[in-house]
Amino acid sequence: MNKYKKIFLDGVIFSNPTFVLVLGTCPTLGLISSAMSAMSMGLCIIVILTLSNVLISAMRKVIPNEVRIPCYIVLIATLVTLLRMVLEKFLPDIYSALGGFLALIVVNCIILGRAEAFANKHTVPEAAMDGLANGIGFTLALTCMGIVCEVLGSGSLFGAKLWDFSIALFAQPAGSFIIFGLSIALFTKVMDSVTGNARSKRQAEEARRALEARRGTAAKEA
Amino acid sequence: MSAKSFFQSTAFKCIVVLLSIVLLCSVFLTICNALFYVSDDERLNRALSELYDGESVTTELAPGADALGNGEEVGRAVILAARTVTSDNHAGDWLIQVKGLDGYNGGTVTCWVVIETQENAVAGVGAVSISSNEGQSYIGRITQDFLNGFSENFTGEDYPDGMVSSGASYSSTAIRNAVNGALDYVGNALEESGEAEHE
Repeated sequence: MNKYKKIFLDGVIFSNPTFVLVLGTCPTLGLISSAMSAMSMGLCIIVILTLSNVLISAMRKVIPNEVRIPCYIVLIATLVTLLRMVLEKFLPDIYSALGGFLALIVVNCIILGRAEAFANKHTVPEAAMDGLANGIGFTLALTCMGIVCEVLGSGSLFGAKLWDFSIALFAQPAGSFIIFGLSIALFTKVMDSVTGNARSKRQAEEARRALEARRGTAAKEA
Repeated sequence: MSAKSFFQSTAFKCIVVLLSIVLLCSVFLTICNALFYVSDDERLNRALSELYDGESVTTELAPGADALGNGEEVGRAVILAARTVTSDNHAGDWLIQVKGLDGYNGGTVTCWVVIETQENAVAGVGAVSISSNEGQSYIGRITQDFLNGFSENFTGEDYPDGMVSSGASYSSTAIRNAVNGALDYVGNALEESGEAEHE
């Protein structure tokens, strides 16, 4: 498999930062009560994660191992501050909707985790792909959960009213926590059945080949 | 440790790299700050556009507003700026920039509030728009319906404690304080100007 395709699939599905690694839980619980806020946060994470991975990968040979974490934090904080300035200037609605969670991206463990686990060991294009893939995985997870929470908690979808029925619990972090847990369970179940099916097919194929090989050997002996 | 060995050590390299990164980032952010700075005029225009649905509205400093300085505390709010609308179709409206206190974790919410006046008395709340906040993580949960409620539920009295937005009760308390502060400020200003005219 092409290595970029593998990095992409790992980030989006097999090592999804929200459902598999369970990273970035703070903004997840805080923002998924609204689909729009969840998606906006996801898009911000894509930008920051990709840029931070690129920067850290490009500087990996310059930064001494002893001070790598402070250096990463400074670089990530700079990018987040820049993003806040840009959003406040050009997208003030999103800036105010994300509130304090925007500044908290600095300490988001997905960003620091990918910098430490991937970006400082790989080339710039690979690190960029990893940042992009993990950001997309995070955005998809948050948006899906945001849609469920908003529909159940507010009876609306991306701010458009669907019906008057709503369950107030799902507009609160407690409801978000329940949806988060159920989503992880569902994702794990689906992944298990998909990878389980693939494993079963592989085993059946191996058994068939072994049988054919045995038959071949038996025919030769006969 | 000799000076030479210090300059060749890993510790020195760490300090140099870290300081260089900090310095470069600082310079970069300084340039970005100059590029993306949002001026007070721009904030005012954004607020006017939101409060009057994109309608072109002109304003001027309200009487006595130049004395506000760093703000004047009214109840649980701080009045930051006061302007009066000069456009014919909205003449008599007061535009108040006010910081509401007692938000989540002691934070604040700064709002623009339009106060409608008639015959030297407060006639209602025209509109409320959030300008900025300090430490209000759930400010995104304040709905437009909640903000519209200030216009719809005006009774001439202060808004009661029960007026809160679900999921962001502390932030909505700060907004309610801001609107009450704006109402009190304009009421007092109109009273003073009425007395002055009377004399």
